[in-house]
Amino acid sequence: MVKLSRRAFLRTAGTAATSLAALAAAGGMHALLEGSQNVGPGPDDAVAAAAPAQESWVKTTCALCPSGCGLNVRVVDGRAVKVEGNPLHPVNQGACCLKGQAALEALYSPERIRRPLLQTGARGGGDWQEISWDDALQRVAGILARLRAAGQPQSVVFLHGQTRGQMRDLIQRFMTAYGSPNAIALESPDEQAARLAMFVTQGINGFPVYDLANARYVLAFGGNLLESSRHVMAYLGAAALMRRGRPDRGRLVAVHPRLSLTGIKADEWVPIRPGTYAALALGMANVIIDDGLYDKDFVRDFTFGFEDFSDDGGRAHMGFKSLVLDRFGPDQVATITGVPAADIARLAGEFATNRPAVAVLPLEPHGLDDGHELYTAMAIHSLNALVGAIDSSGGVLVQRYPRLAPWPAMAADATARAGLAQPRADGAGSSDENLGAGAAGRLADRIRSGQPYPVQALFLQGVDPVHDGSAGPDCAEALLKVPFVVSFASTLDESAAHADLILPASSFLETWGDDYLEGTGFAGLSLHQPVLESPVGDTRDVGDVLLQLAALLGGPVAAAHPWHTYGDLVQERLAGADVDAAALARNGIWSELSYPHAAPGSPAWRDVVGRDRLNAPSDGRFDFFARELFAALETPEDAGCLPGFELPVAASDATAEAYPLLLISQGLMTEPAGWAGIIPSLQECYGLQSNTRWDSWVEISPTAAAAAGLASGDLVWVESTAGRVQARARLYPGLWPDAVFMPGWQGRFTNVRWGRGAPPNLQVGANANALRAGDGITRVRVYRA
Amino acid sequence: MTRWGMVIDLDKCFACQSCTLACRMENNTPVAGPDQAARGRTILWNEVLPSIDGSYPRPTVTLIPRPCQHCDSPACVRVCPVGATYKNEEGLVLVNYSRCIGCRMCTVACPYQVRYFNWYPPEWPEALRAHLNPDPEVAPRPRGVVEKCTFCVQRLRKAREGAAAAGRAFQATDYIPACVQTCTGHARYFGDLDDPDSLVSQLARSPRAFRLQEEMGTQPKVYYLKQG
Amino acid sequence: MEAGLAAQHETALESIVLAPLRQTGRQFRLVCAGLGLLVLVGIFAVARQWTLGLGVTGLNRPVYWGVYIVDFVFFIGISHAGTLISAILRVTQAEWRRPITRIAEAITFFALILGALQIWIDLGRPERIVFLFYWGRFQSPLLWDVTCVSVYMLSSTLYLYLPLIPDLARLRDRMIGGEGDGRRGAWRLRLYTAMALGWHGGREQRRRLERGIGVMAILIIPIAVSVHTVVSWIFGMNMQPMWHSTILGPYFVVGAIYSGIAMLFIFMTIIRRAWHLEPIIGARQYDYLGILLLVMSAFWGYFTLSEYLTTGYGTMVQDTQVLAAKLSQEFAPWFYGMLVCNVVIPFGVLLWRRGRTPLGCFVASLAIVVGMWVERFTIVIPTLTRPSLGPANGSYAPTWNELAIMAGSLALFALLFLLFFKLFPAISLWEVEEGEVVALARQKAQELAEEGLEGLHGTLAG
Repeated sequence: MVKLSRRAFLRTAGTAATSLAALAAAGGMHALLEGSQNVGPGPDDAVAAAAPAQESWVKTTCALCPSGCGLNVRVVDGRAVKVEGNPLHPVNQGACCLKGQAALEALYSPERIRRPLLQTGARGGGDWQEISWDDALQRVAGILARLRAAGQPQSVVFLHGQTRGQMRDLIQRFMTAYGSPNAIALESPDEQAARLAMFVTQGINGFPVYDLANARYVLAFGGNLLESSRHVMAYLGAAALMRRGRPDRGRLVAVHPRLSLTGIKADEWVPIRPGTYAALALGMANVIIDDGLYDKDFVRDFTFGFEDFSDDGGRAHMGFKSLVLDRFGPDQVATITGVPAADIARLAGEFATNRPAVAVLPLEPHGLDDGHELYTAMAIHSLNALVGAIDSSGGVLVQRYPRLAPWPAMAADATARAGLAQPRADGAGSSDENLGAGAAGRLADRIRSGQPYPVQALFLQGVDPVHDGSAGPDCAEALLKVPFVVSFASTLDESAAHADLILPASSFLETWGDDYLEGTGFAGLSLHQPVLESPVGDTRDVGDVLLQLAALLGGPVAAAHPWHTYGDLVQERLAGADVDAAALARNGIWSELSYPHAAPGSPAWRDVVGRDRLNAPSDGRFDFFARELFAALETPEDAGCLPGFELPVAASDATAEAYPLLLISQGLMTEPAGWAGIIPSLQECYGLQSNTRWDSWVEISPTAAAAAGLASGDLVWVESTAGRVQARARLYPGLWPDAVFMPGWQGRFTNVRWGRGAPPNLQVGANANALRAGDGITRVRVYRA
Repeated sequence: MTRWGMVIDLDKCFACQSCTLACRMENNTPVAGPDQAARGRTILWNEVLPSIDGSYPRPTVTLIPRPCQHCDSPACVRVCPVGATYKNEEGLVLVNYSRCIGCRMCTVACPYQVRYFNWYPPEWPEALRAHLNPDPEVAPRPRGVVEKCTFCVQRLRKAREGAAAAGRAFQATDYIPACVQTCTGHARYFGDLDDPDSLVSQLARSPRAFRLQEEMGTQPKVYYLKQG
Repeated sequence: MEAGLAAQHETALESIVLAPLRQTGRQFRLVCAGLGLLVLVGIFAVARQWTLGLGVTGLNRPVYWGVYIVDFVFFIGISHAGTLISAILRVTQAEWRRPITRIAEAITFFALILGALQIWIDLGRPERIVFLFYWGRFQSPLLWDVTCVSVYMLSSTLYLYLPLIPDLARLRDRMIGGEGDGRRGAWRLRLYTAMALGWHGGREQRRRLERGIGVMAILIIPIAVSVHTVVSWIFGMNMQPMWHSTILGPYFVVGAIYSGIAMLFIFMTIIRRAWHLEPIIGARQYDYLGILLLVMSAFWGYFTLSEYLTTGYGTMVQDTQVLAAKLSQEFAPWFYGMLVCNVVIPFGVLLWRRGRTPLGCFVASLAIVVGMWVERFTIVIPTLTRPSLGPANGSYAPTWNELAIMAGSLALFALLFLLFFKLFPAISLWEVEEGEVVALARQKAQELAEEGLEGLHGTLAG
C-alpha cells in the first residue's frame, strides 16, 4: 500500500480539482460555443417543433372602441396569445388596430378585479373585502327589492356607456320591468348632437354613416376622423380605398384647430378658431348657394325650409337660404373662424363641384365642443343636403339593422308603471333640455341637488364618470349622496373606487354576445364568443348578472326575463331572425352584401328620410328648417329650428385676460374605450407626434409658448377656473395659436409596477378632464411649474 | 433565389401604430414601463417615426413606419465582431441571441436605428406572461443581447410547415409578417423582390417609390410609396 | 542585518532609486488604502452591473455607448506614453529620455490593461468575451481593435521587460537572504532571479539585449500607431455624422500621444516628489518634455480645427446638427471646456521657459488629461444623440454606477502603477548610468577636440 504523504495528497487533489474545474469550464465554454452556432431557419430547414401544442383560432368581436371589428384570436394550450383581424368582417376586413392587438394585455391584466369586492370602510378608502357572487347578488337584490317595495323603483339609476348588440335592450328591459325610467346612456354631447341632428333634419334616430370609399371629396369637421371616430376602422379602410383603391384618388380635408393624424394624413388641414365649425359650414353654404352650385333639383323636391315660408297659421319663417346669405358671408365668417375668405370660397367650390362630396360630423366625445353642438351638427349636415349627398353613393348613409326575433311580451305591473311615469333623473325629455342634449352632463348636479327625487341606487357599467367628467363635474361628491353604488368595472377605476360594491365584469374576450354592425351602412351582426374555456378570474358577464338579479327579484321582473344566461338570450333573438345563423357561427360575422341606396322619392326613400319622425310630417323631405324642433320646443323661434352659430361662451368670456388660452380636446388612436385600466403597450406608444410615453403632455403653439416664456419639455401648470394639472409642455406648430391641447384619457391610477423602476401607486400622466368648466370650451392659462 | 422585401404605401398609411403593437404582441418584446421609457429604452421593433418641420399654419409633418430595413448590404452585419448578426440566404437579417456578446457595435452602426438592446432581463407582470407567443423563435431574449425585427421569421417557418402539411407547394404569399397583416389601411405589402411579377416588385418600381437614406448605400429592402 | 537590498557600495543614484523598494512610508500606505477603497467600490459597481444588467448605467437608445467606451479610448490613448518616450526618443537617441523611460513603459502597460478591462465591463454578455477569439470576424473594426491591442500589449510587455532585465539582475545580486524576516526577502529574491534570466552583463548578453530593445523600439512605433488608429475606426468606420471622417485615425493618434505625455508628467511628478527623485529627473526633462507637450498641443489644435472647420463650413444637415450640439447646444460647455484645457492652459503655462517647471507642467498636464477625457466624450456622445433617423434628440447622463467604475478604474491604474514601483525601480538604473558614461565620453571628446592629440596621449599615459 502506497502511503500518500500530505504534500503529495494535496498536490494530487489540487491537480484533480484544477483539472475538474478546467474541464467544467471547458465544458461550459463548449456548451456556450456550441449553442452559439448560427443555425437559422433556412429555406430547407424545418425546425422540429416541441410536442405539438393545442392551437385553435376563435372568432369574436372587439369592444375596445365602437367600431366593433371582427377578431380572430389565436389560442395555444388554453391561452390567448395573438389577436388578428377577421378577414371576413366588413368593418375591418382582416386588419386589426393597435387597441385590438393589445387586447390581450387587458384580458390578462394584473389590474383586473378577480372577485366581487365589498367596500368595508368609507367610500374611496380602499378597504375592499372579497365576497362571493351569491353574497353580492343577494345584497343587490335585497336593496332593489326594498326600494321597489317602498314604491320608489325610479330611484334606481343605471348608468351605462357603450353597449353593443342586445345589451342595451336588455338593460332597458330590466329597468322597465323593474319600474325605473333611468337607463341612462352616458353619451357625450357631441355624439348626442350627431344623432339628434340626424333626427331633426333627416328624421332618422341614429348615427350617420359616411360612404368614404366612394366619395371624391370628404370634408371632416372637428373630431378626429381617422383616430377616434365612432366608426374609425371602417373609415380607415375606406380612406385607404379612397386613396389608392380606385382610379380617381379622393381628397380628404380636415377642419380642426389641431393637426392630428387625420390632419397630417389628409390632403389639406384647415386650421380654425375653436368652437366655430358652424360658422364655417354656414359660410361655405353661403358661397355654394350664392354661386348656385347646390343641387337645385334635390333641394327643391326633397328638402324643406330652404326658402322662406309661411306656416299654416300664416306666420312667416326664415329659411336656410336667407339665414346663410344674410349673416354668413365669407368675410364675416373669415373674421369669426380665422379661415381666410379665399379659402372658404375655395373649399365651398371644391366641395360643391367634386361630387360625390360629403361633410362628416364628428361621432365622438369632444368632437365639436362648442356648447351648442346640435345646431353646429345641423349646420354641417345641411351641407350634405345642399349637394344631394343623402343616401347616395359617396354620401351619408343610414345604418341598417337586421331584423331579429321579437322580444317576448312583458307586463309592467302597477309599481313599475308608477315608477316609469316619473321624470328621468337626468332631466332628459323635458323641454328646457334641448331634447336631452347634454342632459347626461348635468346628472351629477341633479343627484347632488336631489331633484327631481333622490337617487337611492346607482349602477355603473362601462363608464368612469369620476375620471372623465361625462356626468358633470364633482361626480365623486355626487356619488356620496347615493346610498348604494354598484360598479361593474373590470379594473379599479376612479368611479369604481367610489362604489360600495364591485361586480367585476368579464372582458369582451370572455363572454357570449352579439354586436350590430355600425359604420357599414348595410346590416350585419357580429358574434362575441369566449376565447378561453373560462374567464381569467371569477368574473361574470353583465348580461348574466342582470338575468340573475331578475331571477332573485322574482315576480314580474323575473317573468320579464325568461332566460337562464345572456348567451341563451342572444341565441333566442337570433333564432328566427333575418340572419344566417350558420354563417354567423362559422365566420363570426354575418352581413348583407351591399347597401341599398334609396333613390330620392322612391318607396325606399321613406326609410332614409323621415322614418323615425314623431311630430314632423313624413313627407320624405330633409328639413333645413327642423319641423321636429318647432313642434318640440315650447316657445319656438326660427333661430331655434335652423342651423346656427353662436360664439362659444368661453370665447368671449370675461376671464379671457386671466385665462388667455383655449383648451381643446381630441381622441387619440391610442385610447381604448370600454377599458379603464392601463394597457401597457398602448402607453408605450401613447403620444406619437410628441414622442410621449406613459405620460400626458400639454401641446402649445410656438407663439403661445414664446409669450409665456416656455420651452419644449418644461414642466408646467395648466390652470382653469375648475382646477389645475401639471404636465410637460410640447411645442407643436400644428395648433391654432391660442389653443392648447391635452389628451383626455390619461391621469389614471395603477397599483401595478409596470416595468423596472416603476413606482408603486402611479398616476399615469394628468387628468385633463379636471380642467373642464362647464360646456363647450374651457379657458386656461399655462405657466412654468 | 428568394429575396424578401416590403413595401409601405404612405398614402394609405394613417400612422395608427397598429403595426407597432402587432409586432410587439407577435414577437414578445417586453414592456419597458414608465421609468425605463423615460430613459429611452422602449423596445418596439417597428416604430412610427414622426418628423415635424415648418411653422403654423403649414407645418410639414411626416410619419413613417420603420421596421428593420433588412438591407442587402447591412452595416450591422459588417461590424459585428462575432458574426452574431447575419444575413441568411433569403435576405433576412437575423440575430443569433446565443452568440451576441452585447458590444452594441451594430446598434451604433445601423443608420436606421432599428436595433434594440436588452438593458435588463425582459420582464412582464406575472399575469401577462400568459399572452406570450410560444413560437420558439420569439422566446424572450436574455439581457445583454441585441434584438430587432426579423420580418417575423417564425411565420416563414410556419407557412412552410403549413404548406407541407397541406401537401402543396409553399408560395410567397403564404408568408405574411404581423405588421403587414394588421395594417388598418392595408398599406403594407410583403413578398419576394426577386420575383419580377410579385406585387412588391411591381410597387418597388413605381415612380412613387423611394427608400430611406438611399445614399448610405446599405440597399434597404423596405420601399416606401410617397403620400399624395 | 536586515534582509533585503544591501546598501554598501551603493552609488548615490542607486540609493535614491532603490529607497522605495526598501521601505514603505505611512503616506504610501495611506494613498494605497485610499486607492484600494476606490477600487473596491469599482469592483462592487461592476458586480452590481453584471448581476442586474447594463440598465444600471445611463445608457439608452440612441446613446448606446457612454462612459465605458470613453474610458476605453482614454486609457488606450494614455498607453502611447511609453511608445513616444521610450521608443521614439530611444530611436532618435534623445539622451534626456533615460530617467523617464521606465515610468512611461509602466504607464503603457497598465493603461492597456485598464483599457481592455473597460471593454469587458461594457459588454452585455461579459462571459462571452471568448467569442471574440473563437468566432472573431476580421471584417469588424472591433476585431482589429482586439488584434492590435493584443499585439500592443504583448509587445509593450516585452518592451517593459527587456530593459528591466539588467536592473533585475542588479536587484538579484543585491538581495541578501539574511536573518530576520527571511521569508519576506526570499520570495523577492526568487522573483528577481527568475525574471533576470541569468543576466550577468557579459558582452554577448549586452549585445543581444541592445539588439532586442532596438528592434522592439522600432517595431513598437507602428504597432502603437496602429492601435489608436483602429480604436478610432470603431467610430470612423460607422457612417454616423462627425464619426465617418478620414481624419479620425491621425487625430486619435495625435491625441493619444498628447494625453500620454500629460499622464506621464502627472505620474512622474508625483513619484518624483514622493520618492525624492529630483536629482535624477531634473529640469531638463521638464523643459524638453514640456516643449514636446506644447508641440503636441499645437498638433492637436490643428487637427481639431481642421475637423470642425471642414464640417462647419459644409451644409450637410446630419453633420451640422451634431456640430451645433457641440458648439451651441447642450454640449457647448464640454466643447469649450475642452479647448481651454487642451490649448489655452497648456500654451498659457508652457510657452515660456519659466512655465516649464515641474509645477507648471503638472498643472498643464492635469488640465490636458481632463481635457482629453472630455475630448473623447465630445466625440462619442453628441453623435449618438443626433441619429439621422430615429428618435428625437437623445440625451445621456452617466449614473453613479458608471462613475464608480470609472473612479475605480483610475484608482486601479494608479494603484497598480505604484505597487509595480514598489517591486521594481522606477528609474532604469543601467540606462541612466549608461547615460552618464555617454555624457562623460562626449565631454571628454569635446575636451580632446579642443586640446588636440597631446591631451589624448597624456590621458592615455595617465
